[in-house]
Amino acid sequence: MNPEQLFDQFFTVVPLLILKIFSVVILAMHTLFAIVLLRQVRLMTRVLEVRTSGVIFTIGVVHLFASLGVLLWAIFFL
Amino acid sequence: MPDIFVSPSSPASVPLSPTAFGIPTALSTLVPPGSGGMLSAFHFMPQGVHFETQESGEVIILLLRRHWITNVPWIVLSILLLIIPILILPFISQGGELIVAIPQTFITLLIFVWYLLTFSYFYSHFLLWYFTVSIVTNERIVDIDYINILNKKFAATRISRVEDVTMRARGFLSAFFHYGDVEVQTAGTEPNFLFDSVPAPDRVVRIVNFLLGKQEEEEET
Repeated sequence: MNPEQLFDQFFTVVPLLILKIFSVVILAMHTLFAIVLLRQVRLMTRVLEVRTSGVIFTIGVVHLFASLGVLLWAIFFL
Repeated sequence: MPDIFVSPSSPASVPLSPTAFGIPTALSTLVPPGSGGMLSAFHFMPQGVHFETQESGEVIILLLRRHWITNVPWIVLSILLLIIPILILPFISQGGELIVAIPQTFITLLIFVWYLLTFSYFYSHFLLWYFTVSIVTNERIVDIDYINILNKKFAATRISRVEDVTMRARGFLSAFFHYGDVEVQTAGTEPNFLFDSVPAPDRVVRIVNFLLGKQEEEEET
């Protein structure tokens, strides 16, 4: 591989690598947010118990798993 | 044979009747039509509802949230966020190929992240609306206020400490959709309560005034 090819490859790979790191960091922060949100939903449903508490909590769980799923997808497939 | 253990009946499972608590049935006619549903902002004697510091024998008379019309800005923004990728994608692709030199996997990830953040935005706003409630019981007035997801304000006062109840409707939307603020002034140094943008504020004032009168009667006797 000559220096020119190496130079080209460097400038093709590095931006994508930066993009991947940036995406993973953002998604990790979102997963943390989803965990905090779920914890808050649990507290909210304790302060005010309503018939729909279970449904609202389940939506929070789905939200957390979706966030975790996209994070893992970004780590392994990007 | 004597019972070894009798489980206490949950306040949520007790069927509520206005007359059982000395509340005239005429008061229930003040309830606006269409109220009491799962996502309603006005609940009169709701069943299956219980709050953290609820005392035994304390019955929820009113459970109020902000009027649904106050949610329109974040609902509209959520819908816009939903349709933005559908509107933008045709402009950055030509015959199924993307104009910009970004790998397809990144575009897929971007779409996933976009919808995830949109859902987070919608869900957190819904939670703030749903759990920010003003409660009037037969004994107290309780205000549970979520400023944001992490900050909560909980305030309560006895009905007997209430001095004055006033309502304020402001603007065209307030008059058209029949909602407004209800201010409950309390005695002494206790903070006042503000039921923000609740439906049928005039009816709320009448119900609180009735409870106030009833409390005064009970104190006199």
